[in-house]
Amino acid sequence: MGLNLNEVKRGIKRLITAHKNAFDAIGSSQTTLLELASIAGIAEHYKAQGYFVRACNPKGKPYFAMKASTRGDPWNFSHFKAKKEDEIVEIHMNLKVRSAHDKGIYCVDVGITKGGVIPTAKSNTSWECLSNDDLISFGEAKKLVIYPMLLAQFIGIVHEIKPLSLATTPALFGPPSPHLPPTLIAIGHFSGNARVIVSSYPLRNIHINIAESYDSRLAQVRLAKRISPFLEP
Amino acid sequence: MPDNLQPSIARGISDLKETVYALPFPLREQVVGFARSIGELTPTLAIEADVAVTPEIAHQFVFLAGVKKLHDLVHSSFWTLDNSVSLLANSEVTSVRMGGRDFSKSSEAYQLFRSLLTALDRELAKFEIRDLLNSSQIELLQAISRNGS
Repeated sequence: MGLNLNEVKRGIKRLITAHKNAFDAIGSSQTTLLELASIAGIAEHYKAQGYFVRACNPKGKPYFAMKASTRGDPWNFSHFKAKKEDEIVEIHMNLKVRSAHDKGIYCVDVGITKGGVIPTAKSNTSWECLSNDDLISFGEAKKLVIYPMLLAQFIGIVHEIKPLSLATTPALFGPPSPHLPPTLIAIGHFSGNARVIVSSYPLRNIHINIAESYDSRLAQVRLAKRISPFLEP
Repeated sequence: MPDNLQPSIARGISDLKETVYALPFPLREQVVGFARSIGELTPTLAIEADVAVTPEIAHQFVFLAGVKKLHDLVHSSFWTLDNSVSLLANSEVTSVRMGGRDFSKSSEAYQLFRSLLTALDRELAKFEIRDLLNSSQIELLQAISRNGS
């Protein structure tokens, strides 16, 4: 490697100037891309669990309409419907859900819900949010490395929305649940002693999922090296 | 941090900032911030890599760590989009939009990302560092040390 740093600098500067539009697009869409990847991965997870999964687009929209913020009503955006035997599960983006403890409302990046509980059209009665009982689980996406305080913050989110996941004794008998536990989806790797913290969760009866290096996980699903980004290959 | 390395690490960061100044702010911050964190870790990484880090090695290492971050950001963005859209196609989703932005494989965004990825890989290959940027930080430091000895 006969490296001339000045030439490398010049070459990269030229490239950045020549591809300004592309870099601008990356800069403004990183969060959106991660949210898209999150719902795609969760859809794949349910397929891996034997569900038949299909996209449901709002009337008049022949494309998958992503919901990328808290604004807007769920019936104006696309979601996935997953069906297995008699059970139907829906997967929505940026879904408002009621707190498990009070009247507070939170917006989760991906909400996994019971089937048919979210209106598919506007009605005379206003829809404020999903009832906490109708939320099966959820995912939160962060384009960050997983550091200890991020884990603590996620535990706090789970405490507000699905607190039973923080006090769950694993079932001794019967098949494991096909549903994802509350899941933190992150592009980055573990930093600090974050991995040590995560490895202690089962001993503490904390039933959550930490999906680090998520872009690599999704790539493995695409390459058929794993069936779900959330299950070990 | 050994005193003789601090100025070289600062120079590497400065060179990197000058190189990527035209990036949009979010990307620039991620690239430079990552290089700064690698700069702080350099003495620890040197021990793990079993490398005697000279000021010039430290300078190159911090600069290339930033270039590696830029490379990873571009790759990750394209492949996240490509993998997501491909997997969604398995559920008969052929077109993806967010507001007025189209992220389908036929979209301008997709083509921009792919062109950028191709151009970046080609540019880095010219300097014979493309394959190196796929390695770990330890391997990068070892390669720079070998080149300098």
